[in-house]
Order: sequence, then structure tokens, then C-alpha cells
Amino acid sequence: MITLTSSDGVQFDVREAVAKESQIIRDMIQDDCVITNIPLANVNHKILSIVLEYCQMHVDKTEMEVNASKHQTTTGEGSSSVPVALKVSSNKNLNDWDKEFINVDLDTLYDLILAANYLNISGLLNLTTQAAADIIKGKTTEEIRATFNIKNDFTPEEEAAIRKENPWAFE
Amino acid sequence: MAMASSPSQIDHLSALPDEVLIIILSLLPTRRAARTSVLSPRFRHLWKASSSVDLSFAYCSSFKHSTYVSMANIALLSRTPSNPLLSLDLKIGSPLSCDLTDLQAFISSLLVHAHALGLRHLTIDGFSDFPSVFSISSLDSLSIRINSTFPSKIAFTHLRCLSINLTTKTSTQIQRLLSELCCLEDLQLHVFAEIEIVCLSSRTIKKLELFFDYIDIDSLGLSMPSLEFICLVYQCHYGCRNIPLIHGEIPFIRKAVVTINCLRQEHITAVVQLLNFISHVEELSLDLEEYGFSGYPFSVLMEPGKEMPTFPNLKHLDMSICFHEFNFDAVVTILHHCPTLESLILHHKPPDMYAVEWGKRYAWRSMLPRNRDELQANILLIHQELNAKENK
Repeated sequence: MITLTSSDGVQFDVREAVAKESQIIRDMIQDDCVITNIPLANVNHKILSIVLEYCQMHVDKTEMEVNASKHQTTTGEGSSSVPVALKVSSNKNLNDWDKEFINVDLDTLYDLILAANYLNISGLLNLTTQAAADIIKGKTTEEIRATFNIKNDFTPEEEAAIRKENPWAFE
Repeated sequence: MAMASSPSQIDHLSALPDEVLIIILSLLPTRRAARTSVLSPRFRHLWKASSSVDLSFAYCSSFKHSTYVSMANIALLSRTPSNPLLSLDLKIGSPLSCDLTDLQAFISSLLVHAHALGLRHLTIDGFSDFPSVFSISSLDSLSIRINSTFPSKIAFTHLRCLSINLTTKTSTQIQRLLSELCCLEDLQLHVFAEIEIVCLSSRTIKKLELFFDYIDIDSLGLSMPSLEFICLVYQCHYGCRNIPLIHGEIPFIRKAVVTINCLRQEHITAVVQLLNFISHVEELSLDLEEYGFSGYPFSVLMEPGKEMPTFPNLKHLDMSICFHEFNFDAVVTILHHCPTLESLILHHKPPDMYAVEWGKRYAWRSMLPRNRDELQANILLIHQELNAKENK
């Protein structure tokens, strides 16, 4: 077990495999194998619990698959008493789970992006940045400004000049 | 990371660090990313650092050549090595409103520049072949259409992922290409009619996807000792002319996806041979469709009088076929040959009734139990039967 402490002092006990979804934690543990408590100065407890939910789910799914194939090789041919279940493949489930998971408000999305970047969790960073890109994709400049509260510091003349620089983008 | 008291007033996007914003901008098509330059001074030049450039010609009817050139100039040609380029999309198609010779020279210059920037992923699909693609030694993945011929010199030293759309007859060169790719793990091959492929071999390929359209070859040899996943799609619209007999060595195959439409009775030998070929898989997905005009239904999975293959490792089976009487019986037999099955999905594909002769339609009705529980009970029965047999 490893204890992760959020910026606001809340402790989370997680399995090593779950913590290791984060590249920086993986590096820390590898460098010094006696580490059991890691303070995370840039992630508060609300976001850390969401991040850990993601890591937990992805570790569980991977382990389930590995175990399933191990079961296959150790028990061999004799055991046909395996219960038959009608179920869809686990990969598809995980993608659906991700889609549901990332359905959060903009504030949370922003915090998750920062946390994924800081902790270097590549799967979560891909998922969250893609979600942000999808929000931008279908919108006009004005809509993007409104959605993200971006303050337009350009004068109308300046904006027209920038549009003229790359007319192909605005055709 | 302070929580916002009044979230609607805070510009979170602009507050993200450059490196993260660049990741987000890289996920947008270049034209969309460039539009962010007017958002605010923070975004003024940020899009130019995007690691992916999309110069596809999706707008060729309205796109003037000069517009395209100025877009490529800013997005790619004026880029310096301090902004690494990861991926480039050059789906050019066959643009109508410009001089193809000029365009070809221009595209070649883009490729040279992309090479200098250490390009890793390239998609190129167009009216002409660009031999300079094959000298971009930094490529990890390539998706390409080959119109005429492969160049003789291939510089790929660590290409891992290759997708080829073959519209040329000279496909025997594919094997030569494969023999030069010593790290290739993932191969996608789209093949059209009139092509002679006899054998595909590679020591390193783990994932193979073959898409055959109107193919007419008798046999196909696969020698891939590392292969784990195979996907085979045969598509014909008026009945396949020929389904090749597949043979070879794939000892580590784990998963197979097979889709064939327009099956005729004379193809069943090839289908059964294919099932035998992949019989060691743990996961199998079958999607088969008969050619409706060929009269009375027949089983697409079994040859009369021949042994059914055994699937000693099969755990997950997913089948989409027309479950008429003959196929239903064949599937029951298959289940008897799957001692380790854990999950099963059966999907009835109703035939195109307009194509089925009047008076024979009744024979194509589904024999699947309507009720899920009933189906599961049937499967459990089969397993109990099996257990009983083993216990004897």
C-alpha cells in the first residue's frame, strides 16, 4: 500500500499498482523502494479522488484480463464447468466507462487536465485533452470565447489584421 | 489548485500551461487550430507549435491552389526544428481545379521538409505516387495508397505500423517491402481485384488486417510467427468470385475477426479451411452472409461429411449469421467443439427476403430461441452434456 496525500492534507491509501499509473510516482518508487507516503502538492482531495477512481478502474480491468488468461493456462483443458455468461468484451466496457467518466463540468475537466499533466498519467491526459478539443471543435470563435470566458484583448482592427494573415483558416 | 468560487468567470483554458494547450490544439484539424489565433493574445501564435499538421485536400472544389500553398507555408514550411512535427495528413485525392504537375512538385517539397523535421506519422493518399515518402526514415507509422509501383529504395528503419491501399497489379512487391521492414508490428492491407498476392511473411507482425474487395486468387500463404490478431474482410457485391484458401504458420494467434458477405456454396471449403487455420484463437468474431440468390439455405460453417474443427482455447465467441436450420445445427456442433468457452454472443442476420425465391422464405427463418434465458439454458445444456461425456 502507498499513501498519497492531497494538497489539502487528505490521505488516500492505494495499491502500488494503482499509484504507478502515474509516471512520476512510478519513477519515485523505482528510485527509492522504501517510500510509502507521497505528498502531492498540486492536487486537492476532490480531484485526487477522481484521478484515483480512473487509475483504479484501468488497473482492475488490465488485471482482470491478465488473470483470465492465467486461469486459462493453469487450469488447462479439464475444467469445462466455467459458467457461461452473455457479456460484451471488457475493452468495449472500458471505453464506455471512460466516456461516462469524462462527462464532467468545465472546472473539473480543467483540474483533471492539470492533474493528469502533473502526475503524468498518459491515458488520462489523452482522455481529458481530447474532451477539451471536442468542446472547441464544433464552435465559432465567439462561442469558444463565451464557453471558456476568454477575454478578447484585441481591438476589432487587430482581429481583422490577424484574420487577414491566415485567410485560409477563416474561409 | 484553488477551487473557483464563481466558476463562470474564470478563463480556465488560457490558464493551462503552454505544453498542455499545444496538446489540445494538436488534436484539432490545422484549419480549426489556426482559427484560435484570434481568440486572444495568449492564443496568437500558439497553434503554430501544434505537433500535428492536417493538409488534406478535403475542400478541393473551393480551395484555390494559392490558398493551399499559403496554408502549407505557415503550417509546415516555415516551421523550424524547435517545433517538432509528429504527424502529417496529406489526403490529397484528385483535385480538379489546379495544375497537378505543380501540385506534385509542391507536395514533394512538403515531404522533404517534414522529413527534416523528424516526422513520425504520415497519412498520404492521392492521385499520384510520391517516392520521397519511402525515404522518410523517421516514420513510425504510414498510411498510403500505392497507385503504380514501390520505389526500389526503402529507408524505413523503425516503421511499426503500415496501412496500404493497393490499386496496382504489382502487389508481389509487397513481400519485398515486408522483408525490408524489420520492426513492423501492425499491417493493414486493402486489396482490390486483379491482384496477385501469393504469400505474406514477416517475423515481427503481431496484428494483420486484410480487406479484400472482389478478389480473385486461389490461395494465400501467411507465415507470421508473431501474429496475435488477424482480421479478414472479404467484400463482394454480386457474389464472391473466389475466396482464397489460407494456409501457413500463425502459432501464437489469439484473436480473429472474420467478415464475409455474399457466400456461395462453393466457398464453404475455404471457410472451413479458414476456421481450421485460426482454430487456436481465444477470441473469435464471425460475421457471415450468404448470397441470397443461391437457392436453398446451406450451412456456411460446415462441409457435409467432414469433421468440424476443434477450438481448444476459445473463450469468447461472437457470431452474426442467419440462424436458419442448417447454420443453427452447425453452431450447436461448434459449441460442442469449444471446451473452454466463457462468453457467447449470437446475432441473427435476416437474409434479404426479396432476394430469396418465393416459397423458400420459410426455410430462412431464425431457429434461435427468442428468449435470452432460453438461449442461455440451451448453452448450459450443451456444456452439461459435454461434462457428462468427459466424466465417462
